Amino acid sequence: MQHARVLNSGKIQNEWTSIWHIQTEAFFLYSDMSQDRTILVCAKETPDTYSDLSFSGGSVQFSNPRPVLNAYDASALEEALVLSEAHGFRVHVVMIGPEKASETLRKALAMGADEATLLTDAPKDADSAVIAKILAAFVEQFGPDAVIMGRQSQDTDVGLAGGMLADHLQWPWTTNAIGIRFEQEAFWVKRQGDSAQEWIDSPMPCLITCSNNLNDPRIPTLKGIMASKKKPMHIVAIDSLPGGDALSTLAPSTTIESLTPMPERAAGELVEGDLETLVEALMKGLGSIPETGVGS
Amino acid sequence: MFNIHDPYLFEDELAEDDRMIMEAAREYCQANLEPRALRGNQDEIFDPEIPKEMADMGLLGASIAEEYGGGGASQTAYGLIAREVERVDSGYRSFMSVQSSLVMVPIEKFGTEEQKKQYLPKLASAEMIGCFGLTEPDHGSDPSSMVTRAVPTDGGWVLNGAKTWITNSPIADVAIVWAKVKEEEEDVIRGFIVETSWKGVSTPHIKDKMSLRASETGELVFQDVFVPETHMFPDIRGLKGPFTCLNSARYGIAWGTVGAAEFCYERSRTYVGERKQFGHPLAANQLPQTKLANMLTDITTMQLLAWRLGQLRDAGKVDPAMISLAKRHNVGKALDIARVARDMHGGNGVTGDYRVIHHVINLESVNTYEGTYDIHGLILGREITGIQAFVPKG
Repeated sequence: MQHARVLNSGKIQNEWTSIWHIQTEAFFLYSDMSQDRTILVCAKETPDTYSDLSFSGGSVQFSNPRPVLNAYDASALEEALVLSEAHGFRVHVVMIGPEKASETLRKALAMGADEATLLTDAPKDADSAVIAKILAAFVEQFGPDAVIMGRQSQDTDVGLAGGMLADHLQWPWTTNAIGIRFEQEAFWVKRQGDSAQEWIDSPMPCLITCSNNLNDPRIPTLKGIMASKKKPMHIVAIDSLPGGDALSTLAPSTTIESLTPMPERAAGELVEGDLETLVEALMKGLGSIPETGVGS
Repeated sequence: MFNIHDPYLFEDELAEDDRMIMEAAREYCQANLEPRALRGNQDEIFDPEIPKEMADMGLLGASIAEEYGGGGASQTAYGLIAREVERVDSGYRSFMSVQSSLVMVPIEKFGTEEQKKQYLPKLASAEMIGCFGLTEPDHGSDPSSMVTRAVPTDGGWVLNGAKTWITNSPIADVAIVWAKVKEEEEDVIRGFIVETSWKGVSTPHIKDKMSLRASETGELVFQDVFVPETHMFPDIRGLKGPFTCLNSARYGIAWGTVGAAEFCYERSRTYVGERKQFGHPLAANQLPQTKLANMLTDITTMQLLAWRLGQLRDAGKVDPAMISLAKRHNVGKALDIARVARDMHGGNGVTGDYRVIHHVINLESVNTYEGTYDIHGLILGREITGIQAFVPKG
């Protein structure tokens, strides 16, 4: 079996050959070989996309003014915490954002992460490519055994940062994880494909991007929130990372030209009449659907 | 940008801990309590899993010291939790208030070290459920006339009497009971920790309650119940004991009703935006708009009152009359808002699906319990005029 690997950032290929995994009890015996190993969770704070939004002056306003922890990253963190509870990994969370993002990052500590780093002073309008380069510099300096992160962020749904980061690191990368196990010094990742699920063997160090169907992230408890105050949170300016001068002046390779609301769906047509009329209307309706759309 | 949920941005002023606790409580309540609320109210079900869930979240005894199993959080955090729980149902908040304010607070404030160690951790973890017995069948607003009495016996006391309208009593393991004892020929109110499994204690369920149906309410009946000396609060005497507990619970109500009012406002706002009559959304009419404006104005006053009261409690600068003012104002306004919300929903307002009528009927109880709207008016009147008007002069 080979592993998910990124060949280059422009063209992402998967070298692995998938197997239909046959699970046996013996195969998944937990081991305690992972003491003092670290999972790094890369997290982002996003607008609360579940709150009401409105468009004004070419930008989007959300009715909840406070940012939230990206739901996909929350799933990644939850899985890291489950792996930590079973195998003793330390869980460190890194986030790029302004200093006030520390409150969102503290939520990760309240959920149970051991430590956190907030990377501040990111270049203006940083896009996925910029974020991936900054994270790569941090990962190379920090040296975790695995990076687990959301497959995308809930605000833009772009989903590029994970793949680009894996490319910079030249690490095995498994996408769209809906289950993760740690066994025999490797992560076993169940990933959701278009029509089937695959188990991927991914040796350390590796990068895994997670579906939000992976789990139901825990809600921080009051005790967790109070305990989070005592956990280390490092605030680090990006220009102090290796190669930081170049990182802090990176220019985005994409720009947002405009933001517009989704067009409203056209009202449906209510057809009344006898069976013949209804069938005729149905056939007429089907006839208007492009051929590629039928039965796909 | 004008925030239509928090116009004066009071949530921005909260301490980070408090805001995080608020958001965690909101997430729990919306994910776990809201889906149970309709059936809980309709079928009179208090899911026995709820106390354990709340305990796991740290919502029971949130502001009790951590060394006794509490959360060690601020008074503001406790209030914010009440707001989130009551956003779903006042019955769930009643359960939480009783456990936290009326049972854990007196044990922490008035109990011996042994009493604290014996009961507080188990109450925080929901291993034990608590209730509070002050009101009697013939003595509601006038608790000093209570007839429940404890008389001394070898090694303790013998308790006789009855308490009614006791939230949690049918499911309680322990009751904080206030009873009269004779001390130097005078009747003095003293507090006892009574376990409901003891001989002579019964806790009948009150049937056919039409309000707060998602929480258990019953009586506490004591027939020659032996209470060991170790289960009396050693020092607290008089109504100061129960009123200390009630002040804490009333403070929680001032916050909780903010949540109930916000729920009714939000439901109304959504409803009039979606419901079309005469070819236009109801929200396009002047009457619904000004009704929503009135609701939001009142909610803003409620939010700011509760928030400032929390600050005062955290700073140790609160006077009981401040709590009376907030309890009275916020419950009264919440009830007004809920009634208008019911009206704005038209016929749908009386169905369970929209749940505004649940809040209307729940708030009728909340307006009455823990000091009625009028009694709190008389507490304020006494402060303002210097003349008590509780006892009729006629």
